[in-house]
Order: sequence, then C-alpha cells, then structure tokens
Amino acid sequence: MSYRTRKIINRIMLTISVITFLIGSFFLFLILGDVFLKGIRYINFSLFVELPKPPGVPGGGVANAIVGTLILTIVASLIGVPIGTMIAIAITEYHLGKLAWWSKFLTEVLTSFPTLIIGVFVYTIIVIPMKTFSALAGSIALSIIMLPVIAKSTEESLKMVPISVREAAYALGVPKWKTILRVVIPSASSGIVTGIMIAVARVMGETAPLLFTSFNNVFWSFSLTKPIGSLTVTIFNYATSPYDDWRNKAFASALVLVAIILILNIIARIYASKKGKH
Amino acid sequence: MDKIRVENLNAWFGSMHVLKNINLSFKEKYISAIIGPSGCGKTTLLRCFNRLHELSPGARVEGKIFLDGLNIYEKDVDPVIVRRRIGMVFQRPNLFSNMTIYGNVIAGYILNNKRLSKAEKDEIVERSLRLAGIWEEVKNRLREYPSSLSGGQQQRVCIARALAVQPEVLLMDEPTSALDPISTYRIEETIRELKKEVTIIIVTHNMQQAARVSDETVFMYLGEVIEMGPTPEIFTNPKKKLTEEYITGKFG
Amino acid sequence: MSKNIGDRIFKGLAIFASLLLIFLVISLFLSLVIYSIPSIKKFGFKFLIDKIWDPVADKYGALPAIYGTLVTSFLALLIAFPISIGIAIFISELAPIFLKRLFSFIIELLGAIPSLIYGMWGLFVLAPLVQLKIGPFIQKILGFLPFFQGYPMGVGYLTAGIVLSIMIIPTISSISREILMAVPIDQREAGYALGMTKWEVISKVVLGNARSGIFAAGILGLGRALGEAVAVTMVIGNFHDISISLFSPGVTITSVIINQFAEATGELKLSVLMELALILFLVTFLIMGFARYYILKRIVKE
Repeated sequence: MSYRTRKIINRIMLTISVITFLIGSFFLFLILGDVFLKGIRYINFSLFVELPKPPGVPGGGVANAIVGTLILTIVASLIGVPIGTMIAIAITEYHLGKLAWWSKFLTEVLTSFPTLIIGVFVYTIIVIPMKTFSALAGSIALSIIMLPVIAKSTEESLKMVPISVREAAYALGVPKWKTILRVVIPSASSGIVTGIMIAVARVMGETAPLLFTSFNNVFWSFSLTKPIGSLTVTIFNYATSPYDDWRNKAFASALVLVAIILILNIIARIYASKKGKH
Repeated sequence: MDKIRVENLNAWFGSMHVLKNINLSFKEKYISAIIGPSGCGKTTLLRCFNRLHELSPGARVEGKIFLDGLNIYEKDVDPVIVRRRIGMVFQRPNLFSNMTIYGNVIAGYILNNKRLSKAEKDEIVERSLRLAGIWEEVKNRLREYPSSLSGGQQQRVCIARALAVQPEVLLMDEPTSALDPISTYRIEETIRELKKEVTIIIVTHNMQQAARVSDETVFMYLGEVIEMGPTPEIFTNPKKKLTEEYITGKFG
Repeated sequence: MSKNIGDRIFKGLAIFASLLLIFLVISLFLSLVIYSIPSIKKFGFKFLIDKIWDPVADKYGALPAIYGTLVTSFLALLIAFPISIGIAIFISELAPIFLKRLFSFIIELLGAIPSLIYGMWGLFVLAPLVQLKIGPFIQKILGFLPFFQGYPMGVGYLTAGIVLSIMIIPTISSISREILMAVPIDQREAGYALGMTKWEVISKVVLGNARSGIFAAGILGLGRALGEAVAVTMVIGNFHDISISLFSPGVTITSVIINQFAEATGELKLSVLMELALILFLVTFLIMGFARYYILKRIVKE
C-alpha cells in the first residue's frame, strides 16, 4: 500500500472517530434539549406543591411524588451507604482471601445489573410477606442497587490512601478500627462523598424496581409500611397515559428529575476535582 | 537493666526467612544504631519491636522480645498497648494531611479518645515540639496544615507526635534518608538531646550518622547480627572481618 | 490478631457485610427459582420455544419475549459498538490532555440520564420519526430485505434497538477508553518509530493490545441492554409474537414482566413472570460475570 493511501486512510479513520464523539455528544444535547423544551412550558408552582388530580382538572402537581422520592432515597442511603462502605473496608483493610475476592467480584457484577430483577426479588422477600407494597420495600430495593456502586467507589478511594498514613496511626498505638474510622476514611472522604452523590443520582432515576416495591400513592404518605409515590413512577404512569394534560405534566416532572440528577453529577465531579488537588 | 532484650527472634515474609536467631539487648536511655547493607533485615527488626511487622500480609514472628523484662510477644499482650510504650518515626514524614500541625502532634491522644482540657493539650503540644527542636519555628503556625512545612520540618513534627504520648522507647527508621543535610544535622542534634528522655534505636544506612549519633552500634548482614558493641569500638576496632569490610566500604 | 474488643467487633462487622452481599445474591437466585417452580413444572422446556400467551386458558410461552430481548439487544450492540469504540479512540488517542476529562464527562452524563427519560424520548420523538421518516427511508433502500418489510408502526424492535444503543454507548465507551488509556505509551512510540501513521498505531498496536478488554466491554454493554426495562417497555409495542421485520412491534422479557405484573393475580401467572426473570437473571449474570471476571484478571495481572 502506498504511503499516500495510508495517509488518506489515516485521515478518514481519524475523522470518523471525531464524528462518533460528535454523535454521542449530539444525542446528549438532543435528548436533554427535548426534555427541556417539552417540559419547561408546564413547570409551574402547583407542580411542586399540589397533589395529583384527575386528568383535565386544572392544577394538580406531583408534590407527594417529589417527597416520596426524597424519602425513598434517604432511607435507601441510610441502609446502603454504611453497608457498602463496610464491604469496601472489608476488601481493602483486611486480608480476607477468598471472601474478599468474591465480594469484589459480586460487587462488580451487580453494578449495572438489571434493576428490574432486584425489584422482583424485593417483591418476593418483602412485599409478599408484608402483604402490601411499601416505602420500606422500595428503599430496600434502592439500597441493594446502591450497594455495589458505593462499595466500588469507596474501595477505590480507600486504596488511594497510602499505607504510611495507617502505619503512622498504628505506631501511635491507635487500634485498627479507630485508624480506619478516624484516619483512613477522613483521608478518603472526598472520594467517598463523590461516590455517594453519584450513587444517589443513579438511584433517584430508577423506575422499574419501584414498580414492584413502593408501587404508587397519589396521596401524601410518610409511612414506611404503605405504598409511596415517587417521581419516576408518576412520570412513567403519566407519560404512558392517553391524556395530554398528564403527558405534559410528565415532561415537566421529567425536566425536574433530570435537572436534579444532572446537577448532582456535575457537583460531584467538581467536588472531586477540587479535592483532588489536596 | 536492659530496656529491650531480644531472645531467639526469627521473622519471615511468607517463606523468606528475614531474621535469623537474633539475640540482642539495648540499654536504657542509650542511643543504639543498627547498620547494615540493604536487605539485611534491620528495618524488619525495628518493626518487630513495636509489633508492626506482623501487620504485613504473610508476615510471621517467632521468639521473644522483652521490654523491661516482660515479653511483648506473650500470648495475651495487646500490640496496641506495646505501641504506646514504643513509638516510631518513619523514613518519610507521614503526618495526617487532614489534620493541623497542632492536631497531628496531639493525635496520639485524640485518636484514642483521651479527654484532655485545652490547657493540657496546649502543654503537651508545646513540650513535644520543643523536644523535637521545632517549637520556635512552628509556634505561630500551629493551625496550619502539614503541607505548608518543608520535609525536614514535617519529620521533626513527626518526632514531636511520637514523643507526645511519652513513649519509653523511640524507634527511628532511617529518619533522615529523605532529607537535606541541614535538616539531617538538626535532627541528629535533636536525637542527642532526646537521649535524656527516651531510649532510642535508630536504623540507618548512613554509617557516618551512626558514628556521629549513637552510643552503641549493631551490625547486621543477611538477617543475622554479626556484631554489636560500643560505637567507637565498632568503627575503629571491629571484631569481625565482615564488619570491618562493611565499615571500610568494601561492600554496601 | 488483636486482643482489642473494638477491633474484633469491627472486623466482624466487615466480614458480616461481605457475607451479607454473598447471601443477598444467593437468595436472589433462590427466590427466583422457588417462585418459578410452578411454571417450570407446568410448561417444562417447551416454555422456551412456545409463542402462545393466553391468560384465560393459562397457557404461556416465553419465545416472543426471549426473541425480542435478543433482537433488540444485539441490534443495540451492533449500532453502539462501533460508535463507542470511535468515541473511546477519540478521547484516549486524539483529544488533547486538558480536554480528556471534559469529553469523558459529557459521555458520562449521557449514561447518567435515567432510562425513563430515554423511554419518553423514544416514545414521543423517535417512534414518530421512525414511523414517518426513518422507516420509509430505510424501506426505499433496503425494503427488499425481510428485516424491513411491513408497515413501520413507530414502536417496535428497531426503535427499541436504537434507544438501547444510545443507552449502552456510555457503558462500552468508558470501559474501552480506560482499557485503551492503560496501554503503555512506549508501545505507541514503538509504532511511530517504525513509521506508522497515527491510525495504524491505533488500530494495529493499541487496539491489538486492548482487543480482549474491548470485547469484554462490548459484552458488558450487551448485558446492560438485555436487562433494560423501562425504556424498552415504552417503545417495544407490546405485541406478543415474533417477527423477522424490525419494524414490527414485539415484547421483551422485561416488558412482559412490567406490563403483565399488574394482572398477575394467579399463582401460575406470577410464576411465569418469575421464570422469565430467572431466565434473564441467569443470562445477564453469566454474561456479565464472565466479562467482569475477565476484566478483573487483566487488572490483577498488571
């Protein structure tokens, strides 16, 4: 092949590569732009403060769904963050051989595992025995989804703390558990917090697992043992309904949801890069 | 009495036998240096004194080390307690980067949940930083973070941190190998002053440093103690040929 | 090792958390199996190749669902894989260093969008497009192929495949990008020193080195597509049959579970849905497990 031909092929392939990136970026802005345009018109105050109303009735909002998502996310974090962190600690701070290997392997496999299956699982172990859908079941499902994400990012943050820091504490006569809690984790805190933010953003956008666990509730609910409304399930129901009024609300709510998730992701990245200069 | 007495100590990294039948003793309030070529086991020996060696994966220790007559490797001895009586300064300064200088010095108490009044804490911090010879330099910078200090200064704060908990023995693992000559000189001065307060065991690959600073010297080679004696004798009139060859630089 | 009570308790907690994880996965598998038993008992292996879906007569077959899942996922992979590699190459090899982070972040954001949003976009934007513009266009050129026969309804395998492909691009490209960036610089320099063009260095040296890792990235993308629920459910059309035409609506395992769940009143119906979930679990676990194991081995080797 002549050098000229090779150069031409070079140009073509590299241009194609640039084009693929542009395609990817294009879809990002296309989809986000679409949600924005369709949703911004219907964002109003009542969306945030009123309860759902039947289609066509003026007003109405998704206030309970927003609160529901908050409750589900917070409870899920209360369960998922400590357990996920302990799993990461088990992997990095202790020499547990086979157990550590299996923990790491399962953590990896469960990341981006079909969340539908997690929802179905929680349905069988919590909803069926409780004989009702509940916020508790929803939170547990979300916490299971959060677990591997938190475990993985915490593990990576812990690994970045140099051994010398731990040894400095041991040499002062600090027991291992205090060293982990009061020296290693604070040292790794920025990475851990970033991981939590990203895990929360992920879990806020989940729909499928909630369909089988927390189900839905069009009234205010603060109880863990009753079904609870959530932003994602509400959007899903409204979007797949035949009513224009509801579909518009779906887009408005979707805009709110996406905005929160994107802002969380952006804040997480900025926080991570700022702290990286430490 | 001997402050530390080592009896038939053996240590392994996995299947590598790194310390072979060590028998030694160290006198109280003496400065003892351990010298020898890389890989001779001197750092491993040091890390056995504060039971740090056993924390490495695959590490194993057999034998006895007596601190004031009590075997620290006895079955129900808590290594954490041992490490409060025997402190350590490492090769590279390892101050806690998310604590202030003040916080670092007092860390030995805070991390162990010891309650102290502000006055008590202030007193401990000042005393330790004075002993480490760095009080004047940092007394107005106590709320700053370690990253604002030079390497030599950080290392002296490490010494202060180790001294704050009032250990009886201070282990120093090549404390000046990462530092410039002036910091090295300052720290050697500090070590000589500290003799009044603590027993010091210092590992160094710098023979001149051992000659300058220590009262007694131990020469190790390939995991064994070849010779131990008063420093002037070791350096001018060593008993073993191997020692002499090392001192005169035939190998290193 | 330590006599300290605090240390023992804490270590116990750490071990407990790890065991909890393992226990969780095992119970997941077991619960799916247990609830599938009535369905397995009734339909046996025929379940996998039967097309019928008759809730009145209580006769069910999984073939349309399995078919739909496979068709949409492989179509998604077909579209997404080259694009993802292109993106990975762009960020890893072509982008200036100070922009690499930003570009990676843009693709990451694409992956952070919830699947619900993809579903809505697919349903309200892409589906009409496929029905009115893209479908007829493809039919003009490739209409002789059986894949593009029939009236493009908008929802169906093609639309679902396209939506899925956009969703898995971030997965495949970010893993591929990491693998490409892990290829040592001196390998590239050796290629340049031999007079290779940039593309030749990339295709022969870098990709050659990274080949199996990128393959694993593709597998993970496939796994992600197989398990996608909400987005696919909204654009697949919910039609219980198989069709060779990509314009046709269909079902996937996940869409059946979501759509039929509300009406799963009988024990058998629920069991059928559980068996579908079990099939999905086994397929994704095996695929993703294999790919992750492979990637883990590579990392450990370095």
